[in-house]
Amino acid sequence: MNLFKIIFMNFKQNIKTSLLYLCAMIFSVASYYNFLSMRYNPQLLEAQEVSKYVESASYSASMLMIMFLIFFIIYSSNFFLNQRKKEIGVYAFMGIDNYKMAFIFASEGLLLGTLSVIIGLAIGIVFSKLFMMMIAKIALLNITIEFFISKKAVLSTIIVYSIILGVTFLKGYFQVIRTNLIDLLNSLKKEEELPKINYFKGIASIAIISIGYYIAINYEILGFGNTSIITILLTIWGTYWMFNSFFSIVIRYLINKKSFLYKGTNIISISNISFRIKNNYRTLAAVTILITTSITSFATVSSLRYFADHNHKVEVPYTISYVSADEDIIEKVDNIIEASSHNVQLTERVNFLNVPVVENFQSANQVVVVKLSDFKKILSDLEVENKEKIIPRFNFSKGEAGYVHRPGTAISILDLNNITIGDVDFNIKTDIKVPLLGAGVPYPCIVVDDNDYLRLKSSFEEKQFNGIILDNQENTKDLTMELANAIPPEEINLYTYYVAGATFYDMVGIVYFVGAFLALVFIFATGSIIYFKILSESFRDRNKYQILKKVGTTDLEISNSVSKQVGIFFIMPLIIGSIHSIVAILVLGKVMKYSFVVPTAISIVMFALVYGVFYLFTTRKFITVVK
Amino acid sequence: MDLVLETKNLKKEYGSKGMVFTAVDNIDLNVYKGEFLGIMGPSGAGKTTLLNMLSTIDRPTSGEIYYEGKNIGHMKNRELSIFRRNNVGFIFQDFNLLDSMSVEDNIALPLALSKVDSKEIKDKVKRLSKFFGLDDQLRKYPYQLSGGQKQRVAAARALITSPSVVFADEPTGALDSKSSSELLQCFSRMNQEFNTTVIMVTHDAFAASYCKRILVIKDGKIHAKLDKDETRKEFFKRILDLLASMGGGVDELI
Repeated sequence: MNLFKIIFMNFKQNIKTSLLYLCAMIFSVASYYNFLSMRYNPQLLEAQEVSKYVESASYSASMLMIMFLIFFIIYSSNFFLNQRKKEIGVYAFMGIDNYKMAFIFASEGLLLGTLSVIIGLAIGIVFSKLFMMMIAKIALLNITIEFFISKKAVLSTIIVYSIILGVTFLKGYFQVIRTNLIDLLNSLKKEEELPKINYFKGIASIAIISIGYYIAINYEILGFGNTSIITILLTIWGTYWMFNSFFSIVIRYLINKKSFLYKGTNIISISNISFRIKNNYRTLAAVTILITTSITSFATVSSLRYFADHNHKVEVPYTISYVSADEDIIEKVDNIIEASSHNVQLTERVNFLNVPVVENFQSANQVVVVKLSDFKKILSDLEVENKEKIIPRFNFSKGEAGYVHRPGTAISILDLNNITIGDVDFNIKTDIKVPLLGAGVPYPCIVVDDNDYLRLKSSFEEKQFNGIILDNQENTKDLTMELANAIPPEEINLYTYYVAGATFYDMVGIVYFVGAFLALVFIFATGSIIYFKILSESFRDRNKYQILKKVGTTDLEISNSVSKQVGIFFIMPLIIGSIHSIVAILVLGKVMKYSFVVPTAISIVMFALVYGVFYLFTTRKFITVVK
Repeated sequence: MDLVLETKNLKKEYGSKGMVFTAVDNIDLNVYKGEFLGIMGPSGAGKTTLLNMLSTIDRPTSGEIYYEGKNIGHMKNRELSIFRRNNVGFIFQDFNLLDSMSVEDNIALPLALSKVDSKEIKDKVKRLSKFFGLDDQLRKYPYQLSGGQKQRVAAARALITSPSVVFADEPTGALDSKSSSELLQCFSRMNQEFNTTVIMVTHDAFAASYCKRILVIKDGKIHAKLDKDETRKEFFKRILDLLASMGGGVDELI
């Protein structure tokens, strides 16, 4: 039997254990290729509106993936090597020298890696059209994506993975060469000892994390740049110590609390965990950091989108809006729209007063005034959410007014109670952020009683606002161009869905897509890491469960105890990672002056669901191993 | 005397058609309350197979086993596990203690799984650890104990459920002679003081001499029976004589 035959045989035998690794690798290669080829895609490059965002998203996503992949591949190859040390020992016993053996085992990883690169690239190429179409759809690009293989992306994917795989090959090779026989044979038999408890580290870990949180929340003290670096370092440090010591303290407390321990299978799971912390705390801490990263990145992009979505409704309530009372212009616009393929769904024409300068008013130097009756009409025409609750708040008598925030403001805090318009004082009774005139009239709007409006009318210029909602609003590029050509857009404050979309929202869409995709890759790999780690534990625990069975533990109790043991290892990083990311998003919310409770909660739940699937998978596998 | 354990035509076969090997061949056995029964025999005689069936770890090919008159052959796996936990105690050659639990938790394990009140468990652990001289070791872990101590922990664990029968499979196999005789004295005391029924499989004539009755098994059948009605030393001699008469086995059995 020659060397390659041995390599191939081993590979075939172990394919089942490494199936998950293979899947994770294939998935990551496919994603990496697509992130990379994004910036080479000819159709996306032609769409000038987004090419800049596509390029930067592609760069940052592929960079992040490389860093993550290095960690993942090195970690998993270490796992495989440790897993098979005994086998290596047997070969060594039979007289195969270290160099040959090192070659055999390191080649296996190389073979696995090569296979995943080939399959991953193939899958990546097959799905690239779909991937690009999704990006185009999200960016609201009206382009046809054609099937395209980027030679550059293929080449650089191969180069990057070859370097990573080559380095891990060498690392594995030298690792095997340097081992000696007796260690190999004893590697699984090693007697475990109860880890010593370090109370100082345990308590310090909580303090370190708390300090990190405190600095992050009060980021003004050290400045944003310093804060993020210091917080990240403190949090990582604290998390390591926490799993190393604080976790041990808690488990030891539970072991000594017999009323808890002597309750069914607790005694088995908790005792096993107490012995495993020493072996596992690094993985648990690393998994926590990964979970934090993926929840935070996903929550950040979905917060951005959430923020953008909310603003979008306020900023772009109409497909087309302009300001003019000129019959000719109105007719011109109507004709152009009529000639287009779009159908009108709603036309809103409202008069408002233009108030150029308002004294003692800091938030804006210009406001517009709208009649209460018009305000109510617009709200119901636009079918604004919660309008039944909003309208009663605007029930005021003479001298009272409502304040509608300027479209596009992030801050929604009003700092005054009174406003003087012309020579009339108004008492501001309520303030709100709702879709009204949209960003085409980018000023705060004061809603006043109809009688008050008549009184003010004489002192200010009255203008007419025209808002039109069309169907098929995504494809209004040509219509916008036509309108802009017919009438100078500045003259009538022309604002359209297309104008709004081409700016901020495209970028948010792409960032969201890339971020969500990255988070998915991260979840997959995080799940695989914890799966491998716990699986290697299961081989050590097999003996224990055999004893338990002899002593009269039922299969159900064994399953229970395994679920508990695996569950604690899964849930601890999830809880701590979630807390870390909640703090991170809290800070983001503070910076952007916006509450991101909803997107954060959604991100955590989504992550927990995917992670839960890994938990079930791991538990099932663990049970089959110990049974 | 109460009959604790009874078997009828107990048979265990291995292998498939044409290649059947009978490990235990139609054994009828009665074990009474408070007995200390030894099962001896050369390797391959079927001792451990018999013990595994008696202790419900393995199922017979045919024949019945009655515990206090109850046939356990009809029980489902789950029922059997719980039955085993509550009615049967085990002491193995290689201790089978859980490395990840302290001595007290190891002893408490079967009761903890049955969700007995933790105070009651603690009391029982205390009483048994005193009996086996383990008071000072309760907080230690198995890897910190000597072989003799480990086996005494295993004995305490076997006794904590107050089982009707305690099975010991070569309990002295991994112990030096001093620890062996200490442990066997423990067994004798436990047999007398708690009136525990003990069934012990052993190779060792010295260990067997602590029993009250001995069955010698050969080729799956009961080959001879011995009752102790003299001192241990005389009994020991009689066992040796018996083994010698079986021919060639003496060296192997001592």
